[in-house]
Amino acid sequence: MNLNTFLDLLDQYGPEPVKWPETERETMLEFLQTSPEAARQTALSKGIESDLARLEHTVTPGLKGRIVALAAAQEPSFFDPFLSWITASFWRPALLSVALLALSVLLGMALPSVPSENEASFDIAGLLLDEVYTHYE
Amino acid sequence: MARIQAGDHAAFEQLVERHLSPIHAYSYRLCRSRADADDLAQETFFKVWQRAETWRPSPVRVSTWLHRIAHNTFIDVWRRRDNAEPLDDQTAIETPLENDSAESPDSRTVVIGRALDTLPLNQRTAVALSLISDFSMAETAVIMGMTPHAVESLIARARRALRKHAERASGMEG
Repeated sequence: MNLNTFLDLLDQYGPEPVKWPETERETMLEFLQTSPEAARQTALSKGIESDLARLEHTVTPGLKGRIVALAAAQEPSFFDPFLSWITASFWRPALLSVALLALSVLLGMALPSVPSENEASFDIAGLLLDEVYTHYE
Repeated sequence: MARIQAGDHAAFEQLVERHLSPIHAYSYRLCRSRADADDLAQETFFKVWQRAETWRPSPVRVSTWLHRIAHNTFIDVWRRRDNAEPLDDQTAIETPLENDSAESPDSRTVVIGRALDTLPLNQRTAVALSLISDFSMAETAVIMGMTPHAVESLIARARRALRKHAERASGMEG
């Protein structure tokens, strides 16, 4: 163990011996006892981690209210859950299209046939001709 | 989260109440600007509200999920900037950005806060998550979208840089 190796391990695992790997801990502790520079750097590292843990943070006043108000202004529409579902994966729009097509085909097959316009015209012509024949008989 | 998914505003407000401070603190570490941190935190929670239905119960904690959203939102904005700071430049940033520190005025914490601001973005992020917010190495890796080994490497480099900064601040050379 030399100072550079010790410092590399110190930076990798931090200054608390409980977090040092078991395979290195004893060697590191022995080196710590004999090297004033290693001891100084370890103390420095401990101070840094302690200072980091003491960092306090203040949230900007009013930010929480702004966030909640912004969400409240974005009320989801009735269709939002459907739109979210359909856009969640690429296969869902395709599935919906196939389902609509199949439904259309089934609907078309299930509906009764409607007489064509030509058929209706012949019927009307026949009625009119009957009327004419009856009038002249 | 189930209540938020159902559109419960009160539940959303509770979520904001519980997680705004750590999310804002993390945002501040990323942005190094209070105004940008406000925007990032606001955008993060807005995305949570809009995309609540995408959350699924999992081993990942809600706080981890929230930090990941904040991280990804920041990266999206960072990628669009022309003069964005590099992710992991070896050269530390010498000049802290603004005087409006979000930290308490204790001199040592001010010094460490400014030292943290000089770290490259990826190192600063790893320290903020792992050493300040106490996320595990695995959780930090999930938030940053990296392997745990990569996160360990970032933290080691950050510790080395902070040690050197502390030595300079104390007037000693090691």
